[in-house]
This record gives sequence, structure tokens and C-alpha cells, in this order.
Amino acid sequence: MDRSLDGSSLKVIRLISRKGILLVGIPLLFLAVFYFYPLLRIFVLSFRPEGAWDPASLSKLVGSSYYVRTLWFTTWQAAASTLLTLAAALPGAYVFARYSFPGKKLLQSITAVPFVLPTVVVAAAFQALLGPRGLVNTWLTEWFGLDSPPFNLDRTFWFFLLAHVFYNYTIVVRIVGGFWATLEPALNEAAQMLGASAWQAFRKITLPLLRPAVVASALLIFIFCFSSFGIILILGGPRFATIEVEIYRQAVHIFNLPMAAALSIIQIIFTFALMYVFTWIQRRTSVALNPVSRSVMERRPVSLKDKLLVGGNAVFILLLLGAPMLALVLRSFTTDSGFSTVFYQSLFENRTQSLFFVPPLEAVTNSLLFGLATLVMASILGLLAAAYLAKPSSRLTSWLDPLFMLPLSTSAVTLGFGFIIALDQPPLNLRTSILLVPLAHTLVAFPFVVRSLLPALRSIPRSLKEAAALLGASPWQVWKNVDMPIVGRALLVGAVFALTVSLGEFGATVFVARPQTPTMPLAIYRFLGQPGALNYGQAMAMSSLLMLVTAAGFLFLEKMRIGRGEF
Amino acid sequence: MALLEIRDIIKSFVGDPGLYGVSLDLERGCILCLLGPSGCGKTTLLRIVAGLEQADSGRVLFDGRDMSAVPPHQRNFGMMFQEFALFPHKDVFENVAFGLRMQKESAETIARRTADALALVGLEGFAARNVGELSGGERQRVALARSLAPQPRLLMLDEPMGALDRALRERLMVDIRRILKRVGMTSIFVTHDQAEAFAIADVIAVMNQGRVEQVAPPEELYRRPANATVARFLGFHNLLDGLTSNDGIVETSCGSFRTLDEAPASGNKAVLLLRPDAARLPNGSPPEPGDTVLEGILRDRTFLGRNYQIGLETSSGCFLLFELPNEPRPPQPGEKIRLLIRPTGLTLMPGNGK
Repeated sequence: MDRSLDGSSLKVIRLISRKGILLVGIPLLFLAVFYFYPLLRIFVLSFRPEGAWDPASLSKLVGSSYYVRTLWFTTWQAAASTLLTLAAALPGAYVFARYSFPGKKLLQSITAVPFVLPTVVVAAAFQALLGPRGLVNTWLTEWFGLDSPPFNLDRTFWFFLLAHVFYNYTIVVRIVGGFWATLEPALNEAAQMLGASAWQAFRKITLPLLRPAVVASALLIFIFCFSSFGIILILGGPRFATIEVEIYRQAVHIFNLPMAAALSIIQIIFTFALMYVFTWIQRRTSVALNPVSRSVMERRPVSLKDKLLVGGNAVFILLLLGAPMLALVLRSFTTDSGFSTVFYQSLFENRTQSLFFVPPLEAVTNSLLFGLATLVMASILGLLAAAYLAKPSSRLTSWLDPLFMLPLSTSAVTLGFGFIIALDQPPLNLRTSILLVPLAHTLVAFPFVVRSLLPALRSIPRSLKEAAALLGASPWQVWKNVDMPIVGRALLVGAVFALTVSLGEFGATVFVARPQTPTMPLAIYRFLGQPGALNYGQAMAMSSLLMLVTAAGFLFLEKMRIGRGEF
Repeated sequence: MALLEIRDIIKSFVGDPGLYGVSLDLERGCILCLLGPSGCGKTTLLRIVAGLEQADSGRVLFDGRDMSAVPPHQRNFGMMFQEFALFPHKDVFENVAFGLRMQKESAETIARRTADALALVGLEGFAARNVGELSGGERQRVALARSLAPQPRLLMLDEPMGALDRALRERLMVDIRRILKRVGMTSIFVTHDQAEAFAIADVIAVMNQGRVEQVAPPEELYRRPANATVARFLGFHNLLDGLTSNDGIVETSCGSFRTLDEAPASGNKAVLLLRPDAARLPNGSPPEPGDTVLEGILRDRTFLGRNYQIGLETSSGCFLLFELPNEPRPPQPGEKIRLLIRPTGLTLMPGNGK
């Protein structure tokens, strides 16, 4: 390309690329200070707990039965959650891939909403449905005049397992279902014509072809459940602790920072390894399988068997995914004296009888302010990073792309923990800064902005920009008049994404937020931890509000998203 | 009794054309072609015979036995799919061996019969190939070998050449018929291409809008299409509405023609087909008895390679297409022309008002 340009244009191009380095330098600096530096501090803290090089104490920690027990529990609960989710969602994936039926779009949206709900909201929703004060137990005790609630799922293994299925159902439907829809039905029919029964055809043909998609979705679910925090903390109670929960307890409750650091290292290593395998599988699964247009292969359920399958799945989705969300809203309006908006009103009243409680309204305000700050910072950083990454790929961009995604594959708790041990001393003493929460949220949110922007930026044909340049536009004018109008929508998507992430963020916030400035998820967590009907009701009301906002944000994103999302 | 009997099949779809009482017979070792435009129900009929779809009513009898309760995998019918549906995660050998594995054959039998099937389609040495590495023609042969290997009682081929380019298609048409005849396979195949149907089939069933219009061997179909729909689908253009009169004379708006067909009672509505090869230039020789003389202006002259196609506008305002040999060369467009139509080039069909 260079050869066709004269000397002066060459100079301009060199200048842009030098400026480009400058632009991408800002997000890189941000990552260095707020991501790599805290991680480094975690490493230092685990290997040099007392300020001296002491691997012995780490190995003692790692060798302890407590450590092994935590790791073992984390692993097997993640495995159990993964298997249960696959079993629950594979029929759904099939139905979505192969049938068209009235209400399909709506049902698909319902399956997708849980995935974006904040963990505290999900925990509250399950409390509202199946907890001791939940709808099911209340109704059953009333109807049958029971003395105690019949379902005692609270603080049991099954409770958070169910919540994990709720959360991750859509992953299987999206990844496996999407893949399934591209498999020709003729392959299955060919097997049947060659003498394979329906089951043999599934086992010998469909399943092997689906395997990469199943493995990819299973791995993703495993990663999410492995670093599950809020769900286990709230629904599991003190009896259960994943590594994440244990990092939090060790750091915040017991103040055993070296132990928390040692646990963080395991968490980091595991999630990175799993993420690496996941992206590797994802790259490999893009094998050409004769993609067929979807409408051809979706058929209406005709036979009784078809109708039972489709109907059964619809009922299952509504029960598993719809019921908790509905129960949350219902419960937020249910008081002992019947239907009332008292819990919502109390959110906006200044009750000062509690010493350590901040009025709920302040939590709402904090969340909105933090959210806006996150939106601005994440959008700016994301735009700078994406503008650079969208250039024709060089070795540097192919290196930087995954680098910017790293915060996503690091657990929120680890990030929050890193923040409090790294940013509490000069030159970076942000311990008391109000900016700490938005900074943490920006770290989590800005990869989403990058991922929203990149496809749009890359979709702009180069000829368009070249045409503008030949017509006399300076690089800045090209960006303003060509790129920006096209990218505007994608930036909006990224910004809303950042806002939604910030509003619901719990794992990092629980570390970095000061007691006086809680966010909505923190307030919900505190309400749920307090006795009394009012606290419970306020948790329900605030969760309902948060659910409404995040679900609305998500539905907006689904409408606005250009093409296929990259995550 | 025919090997395969299709009786009064009715199938209705929401929105799509279905099947409205289709009946067909197929003798052992015979190749039947279902020919028709897309959406005429031919593939649906094939899938009902295969058991992949259920008919609303009607029966499929094989060897005298009603097949409606037999699931597809127990029918021992073979099927070759439109896009071949080769299993992408298996190599050529495993694709061809799949049916034999389902029959729980021994390893030696599987190896031998898979090799035989591959040899039959001329793909010796391809066993270890990945199906992704095959060309279109090779994929088609693997699909054929795979459907033949378990020795099905009936083979169905759904547009077996639809995915191939024209040159390849013409070569493979001949191959498919030779292979099917060599193993004496009773077959049904579906196509919308009349050239393919003529090249491969023993019997052709022309379908249109869910009904069978005509069942006949290729030559007979070409010579005596049963009605205007069939004639039009076979690519004939010169279809004239007319009235029959005495002595096999048909009066049309383009003139009166003498046919050899047994004429229905005089005064009946009829459609007269003038085949493109029915005309010749007189070249000084007088018309033979029975010939009809057409006069008009030559409007188009298209060189087709083997012959010319000419468009004739008669003095009565009809526009007719004919094919004339390269020698003697037809006159220039715009010139007057006189053509002799021989009665063997005419077919009389029932009129629209049946």
C-alpha cells in the first residue's frame, strides 16, 4: 500500500501511527496502574507476607487442609452447577435451534435477562421465591396451615446450584443452540436412512458435531461458577465458601491478608488457564459445517411429540427463569397487611434510627453517580483502545487485543482485593477517594466498551476513509465525519453496557466502597443480612428496581447491537 | 404386483402446496423419476416414502407390506440427499461404512463391502480422505456409495445433481444410470431438470402442484405429453388452442393442421403441440401428403450450434419457434419464409375445457 503513496502522505501515516501509540497509551497506563500493579501487589503479598521473601509461609498455606478443602469445594460445586445447567438447557437449545413457534422471541429474551442481572438481585429473587420468607413457602404454610416453611433450601447446596442454573441457562442456549441451528437436519436424516435409530443418530452424528459447542459452553459456565461470589455468599450462608468468598472473608472479616493473597493467586491461575482453554476451543470450533439459512430448518411443532417438547421447555423456562424474577416483584409489594408500596416508600425516606445504615436513597444516588462516572471513563478509555485496535492488524494490535480483555477473565473479588492492598499508600493513596469505586467499575466495564466498538469500527470499509482523505479531509476530519457517525450507535451500546455493569457490580465494590457510600447492591446485601420484615421488604424493593434498570438496559442493548456480539 | 405401491397420498402443509391424492407404482429394478417444478411436492413425496414425513392419509406398500408404521431406520431404504449430507466428522471410509456398522456387520464384511462400494463409484483409494477435501463430484460419488453400501431395497435420490455445475452434471448423469443399472437397484429420483430425467429414468412421473400429471417412459413422454401443463414443463413453446373437425383436422388461429392422432369427435376443444423439429424448408420439393404449409416472416434466427432456432410470424399473427438444420441455411431475419410441417411433429392434447 505504501508504495502507491507519495512521500508526504507517508509522513502523515507515520504521524498517525505515532499519535496512535499515544492514544492507546492512555488505556494502557490505566491498565498498568489499576490492573497490573494491584495484581503484582497480590503476588508480592503472598510471597513476601512479612516484607521478606518467604515462600515457606505460602507453601504452608497452600498445603493446609483448609486451603485444599476450599479449592475442592469450589471445583466440585462448579462442576455440579455446569452439569446441571447442561442437563437443564440442552433440550432448550434444541427447541430454539429447530422449531419456530409463537412467542419464541419473547421466550428467548426471558432466557437472556438473568445473565445480566446483578448477583445480589438473583440472590434476592431466589430468596423471594424459595427462601424461608419466599412466596412458595408463605403460600404453602397458609394453604395447608403448616407450622414451619416446607422448603428449607436456604443455606443449602441446592439453593445456589439452582441460582447458577438460572444464571447460566442462556449460555447453553446461545452457544449450543446457535451451533445446532447451523447443523443440517439432513445429516441426522441420512443416519436414519442408513439404519440408525433416532437415539443412535443423536449419539453418533449430532453429539460429536455439537461437542465443541457443548465443551465451550460448559467451560464458560464452569469459569463463572468457579468464581461465583455473591450467590454463594448470600444463598449459601456461612457453611459454604468458594475461593472468592474465602478471599473476601479472610481479607475483610479476619484481616488475614497473606491468606487472601495466596487464595487470589490460585484464583488467578485457575481462571486464566480456563479462559485460555476456552478461547483456544472457540478458535478451533469455527470449522465449516455447511451453514444453512435458519428459516429453512426451523419448523413448526406439528406432532404431539413436538408440541410436548416445545411446550414442556416453555413451561420449564418460565418456571426456572421467569418465576424468581416475578416472585421478586410480587414479594416487594407483599406485606403482612396485603398489597402495599410501603417498601418502596421507605426506600426514599430518611430513617436515621440505625447507626451504621445509610439511608437507602443515598445508595441509589451513589449508584447512579458511580454509574455515570464509570460510563464516562469507560467510554473514553474504550474508544481510545478500540480506535487503535481497529487499525489493520499488526503484531502490536494482535498483542494488545487480548491484553485489554484481561480484566474480564480476572474475578471481581481479586480485582477489589488488589485495589485495597495496592492503592492504600503513596504515591497512589486512593483508599479514601470517592473515585475508587468508579475506577474499579471502569476496569470491569471498559473491555465491554472495546468489544462493542471493535466490530463497528472494523466494519467501516477502508475505501470510505480513503475516499474522504482523497477529498481533502485531515485524519481528524475523517474520524469525525466518517468513523464517528458510524460508530456512534456502537458507542451508545458500550456506554449503556458500562452503566449496567457499574449498577450491578458487587464483588469488587464490596471491597472498595467506603461504609458511608454504599451502592445499591451493597445496600441490598446489607438489608438481606438484617432481621426484620422491613429490611427484607426493602431488599426486595431495591432489587426489583435494580432488576428493572438492568433488564431495561439489556433489552435496549439487544435492540441496538450491530451484528453479532463478540462475547 | 409392483414392488412399491404408493396409494392416494394426501399431505397438507400450512402455507405450502401439499400432495393431493398421489398414486404411483414402481417395478423391481426400475428407475422412476419424479419430475416437476420446485414446490410441486416431489421431495415431500420422496420423504414420505422414506418415512421422514408422515402422510395425512394414503398408504405406501413395499413388497405388499404397509410401511406406515415402520420407522425410517428399519425400512432398509437408502437415500441420497440434495447437498449429500456427508458426515463432516468422519472420513470417506467411515461415511460409507456407517450403514454397515448400523447393521452390525463384522469388521471384514464392512471393509470388503465399503471397498466394493467405493470401487463401484470409481473412488478406489479415497477411503482415508477427509470429506472436507473432496470436490463436488467426489462428494456426490461418496454419497452414492454410502447409500448403496448397505444394499437397500429401494434407493431414493433427492436432486442428486442439484449442487453440481452443468458440465459435471452431464457427465455424472450417465454414470449414475450405469451404476444403478449394474447393481439392479430399484430407485426413485427427484429432479426439476428434464434433461436429467430423460438421461437417467426408465419411467418419468411429471408432477405439478401436488398432483401427478403423467407417468410414461421418456420417449413416450416427449412424443405424447398428456396435456399442455406437461408439454410446457418439458420446454415446448408452440401450443395452439383449437377445435377438432373431421378427418383429424384441427382448426387453430394459425391455420388448420392435419394430425395423425386419433381425433376426438369433431367440434371439441383441443390443444395442438407443434414440436420444434416438426418444420422443414421446402427446398424446391413439393409438400408430401399430410404436410401443412406455414407462410410468414422470419423474425429471429439464433445459431444454437447443432442447429438454428427461428421465430416465425405467420400472416395470421401467430409467433412460433422451430429448429432448422444448419444446411441449408435459413434466410435472414425480415425475409419471407415458407415452412412445411409434417404431421408426425404434431400432438393433439385435450383442450382446457376437458
